[in-house]
Amino acid sequence: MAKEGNPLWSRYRHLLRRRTTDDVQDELRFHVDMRIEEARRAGLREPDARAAALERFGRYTDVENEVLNIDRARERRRRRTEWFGDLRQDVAFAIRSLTHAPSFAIAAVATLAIAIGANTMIFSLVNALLLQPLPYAEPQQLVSMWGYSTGELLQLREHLRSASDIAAYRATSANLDDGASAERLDGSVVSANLFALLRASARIGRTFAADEGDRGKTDVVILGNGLWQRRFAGDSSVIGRRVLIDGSSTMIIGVMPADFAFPTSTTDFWKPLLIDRSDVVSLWAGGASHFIGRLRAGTTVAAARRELQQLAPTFRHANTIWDPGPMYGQHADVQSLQASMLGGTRPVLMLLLGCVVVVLVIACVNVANLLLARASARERELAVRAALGGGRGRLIRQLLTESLVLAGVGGAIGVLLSAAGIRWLVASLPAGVPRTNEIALSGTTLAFTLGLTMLTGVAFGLLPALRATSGRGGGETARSGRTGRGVGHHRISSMLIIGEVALAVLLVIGAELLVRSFGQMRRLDPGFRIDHLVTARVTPAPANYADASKTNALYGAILSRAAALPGVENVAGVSDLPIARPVYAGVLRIEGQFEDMKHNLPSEDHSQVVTPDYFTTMRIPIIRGRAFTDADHGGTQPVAIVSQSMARRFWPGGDAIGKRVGYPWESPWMTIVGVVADVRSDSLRDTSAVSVYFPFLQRAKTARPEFTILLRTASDPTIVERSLRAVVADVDRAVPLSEVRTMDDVIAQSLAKPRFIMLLVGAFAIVALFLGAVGIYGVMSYLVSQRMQEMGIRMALGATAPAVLTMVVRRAAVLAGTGAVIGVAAAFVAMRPLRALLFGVSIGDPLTVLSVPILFVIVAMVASFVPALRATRVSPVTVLRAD
Amino acid sequence: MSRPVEFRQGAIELLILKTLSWGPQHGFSIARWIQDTTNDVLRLEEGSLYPTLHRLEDKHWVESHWGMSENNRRAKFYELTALGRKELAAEAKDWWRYAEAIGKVLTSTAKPVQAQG
Repeated sequence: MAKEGNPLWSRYRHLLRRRTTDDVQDELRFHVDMRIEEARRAGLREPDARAAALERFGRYTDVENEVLNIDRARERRRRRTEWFGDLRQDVAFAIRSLTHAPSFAIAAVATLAIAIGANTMIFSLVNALLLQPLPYAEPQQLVSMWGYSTGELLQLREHLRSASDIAAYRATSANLDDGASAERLDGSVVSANLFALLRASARIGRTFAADEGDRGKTDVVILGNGLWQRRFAGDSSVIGRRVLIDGSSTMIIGVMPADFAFPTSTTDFWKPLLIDRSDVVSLWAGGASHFIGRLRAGTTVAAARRELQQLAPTFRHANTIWDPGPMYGQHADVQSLQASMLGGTRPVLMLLLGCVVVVLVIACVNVANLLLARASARERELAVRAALGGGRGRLIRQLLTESLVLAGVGGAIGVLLSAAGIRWLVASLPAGVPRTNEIALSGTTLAFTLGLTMLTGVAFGLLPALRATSGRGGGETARSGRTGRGVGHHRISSMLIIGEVALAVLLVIGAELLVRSFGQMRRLDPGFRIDHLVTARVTPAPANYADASKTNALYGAILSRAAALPGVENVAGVSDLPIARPVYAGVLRIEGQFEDMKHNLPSEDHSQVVTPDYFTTMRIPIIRGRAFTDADHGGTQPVAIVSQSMARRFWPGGDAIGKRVGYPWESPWMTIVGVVADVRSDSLRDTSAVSVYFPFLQRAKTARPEFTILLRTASDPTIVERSLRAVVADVDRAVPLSEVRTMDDVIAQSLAKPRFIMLLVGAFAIVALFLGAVGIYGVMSYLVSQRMQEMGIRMALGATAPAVLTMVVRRAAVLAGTGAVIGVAAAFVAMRPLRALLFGVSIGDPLTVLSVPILFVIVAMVASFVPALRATRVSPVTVLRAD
Repeated sequence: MSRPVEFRQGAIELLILKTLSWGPQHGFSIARWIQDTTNDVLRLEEGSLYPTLHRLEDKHWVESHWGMSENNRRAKFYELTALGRKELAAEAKDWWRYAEAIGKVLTSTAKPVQAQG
């Protein structure tokens, strides 16, 4: 097409240009010639006559050029209007002919709108998280790398030549107290060079100076834009003001701009990381858990990784405090910062991308099928028009316009759908997804959608168009109408429908597995009663509550006053609330089994500090022995309670009561006085129920004064929440209450990610199922219309309506069944990467593997019923006469 | 024969329209008619007729078609459109008002009032 179209067009254009030029020259030469003639008649000789004529005429070439320019501009204008006129005509014609086939138009537009909407939505997500570079200067140079402590940070800065700068940070939370009220905030402790490394500057004020990690100089803080707006009403005079952060006076030195979201968009403040070279113990004991670096220009991530892998093991000997062992630094890694921030979100993105691509393919197949069916239904019309002199190019252009109009309308609706979808998506993304503030319907996304729309339109408009106008004699087609044609169409349509059903089955199986996994997770019994339970985190500043007796008094007051609130049945406190976040996993000495610290102590325990009423409040049954009482305090025998799993693991066959356990360092033996039922601690999917509990009043001296309090209520738990705030504020105004929520919410939040994935994949599966039904309906309608004559003959020969009906429906069922079997087979392969997301169901789950194909066969039978009914209404006479 | 007058741009449009008001003509005959009618008083660079003609065509004041000249040569004929006829009337009126105003000034006997320093 293009090969021969191009020279043809240019010849045409050349011709037009020539004609304009010739006309202008003819016109001007005529004038001059007439004057020469006149001069000659007046008696002048040839050269003089010409000279006189030309003089009279003026600047000949200037005039010629000027006139040529005027005419060429007019010619271009004319051609443009003609083209737009044709286009308008084509579009008007397309719209007219589409309104004459409303069910076709609606099916095609709906299919495209849904597919393009879903794709745009997911691509926006992928674009923001995966493709858009991080919003920092030279983002390709930014990496995250191995490292645990300030000691390593200093070593890396000194020795790692690949990076021009290295910074460290860790998440933290702290109380902000401005004298009016105290609030718990999430923030980040960062090495002073972090902002310089990211080349980020403050919105107002400044970022950290190089020496603000030195001892005595860390009493400064930078606020996030959100906190500044919310808490300080965007007041610029906060710079230089002092606030209490965890009880110590700290000066606000800067506010970051709204788009600065490092490491997360919920980071409300940044504090400098203390780096004290003289304090060797704290240098190697921790300080920062995440390291980022800026690579030197020209250095690759791979090169930096190689250098770090050489270097890291050598730091083992720089640590003069303890020997981290021979494996230290063996798995040191460098990753691009973008990839590492994405972390576990990447496979989810890939899954969603895979789903929408499947939806898109199904939609394209559908549209292709619909257009194919429509084109063959219009074969006679097209052939007639071709015979009447409609040029092939013009016919193709018309069909193409029609499919582009479909694609355009579908695309426009799709973009609207996706805009709503993106808003929903951002609101329901599970916690831990980075850069949510950057997710939007961007120019890139729109370009992607537009390209997708156009491609769909051209690809599926062109195929039937070429087919319909292909060389086979128009006259013959016009004469013979439907007879004998469409056998090729049959096969293509049947294959398309089988492929479409297979893909839809694949998606529906995936969705069903995810739905059933989610159901299994929801049904998991955490080992305590979830309903009517209010939880709240109490976080006194450690500086204010360094004294254990003060902490005891605080919680004593809060718990006794909360217990007196109307509607409250029991109250308790716990160091780490189960399910909400991973429970502290400590190491333990066990008398007679693991006493020597040099041996590996058992370490996958959950260790919690609880108040006496904890088990009652949580409704955790006590199996043997007793619960803690108020008599278990600092002055009495140290005691502990273990879970049934723990008892079974360390004292199998024997009795745990009376046995003794202890903390690893400087701790007395604690006697086990009770065994309680198992509880899932880290998450609903936690497989270890090995737990040990210690009484609140006997907690370790180093324990932080932060606890979660629990209220078991008789009625609606939300009523209690407000009174609880008043109680805590009344006991100590400077102690903030955070994460006030019901246990139901805690469970729901812990399931947010699988729920999110399930909802999206489920939505796509429903779309696929719907599109599959539309596709089957379209193809069966087409097949029936193709075989009208055959049906007529059958009916004429005595076939009953039910027989014809069965024939059509059976055909649809066979097509869908074939597709479903292929889809099930594909699912076994394609679902493998999904395994990590499944819980309690296997890929080969018989219920799923059986139910989904049956569902599709039923859908196919229902979808083919209307066309089948149409087939039975065929009057033999009409069909026979029609040909 | 009096001194030739330089042709004023803008007036050329008016002259072409007026010429064509007698019927379709080709460029040469337009030039000749102008020359004959004005007794060669207006010095016209004949070439400048043509860009003006083509621009008038753009404005849809005139239309053109190819035809045969008196001496049987292919020539481009121009014809006034209805729009062109209306424009001719309007422009002629403007021209007369202009000429009248200039004439009044030139034939005036009143001395201008002296401006105060």
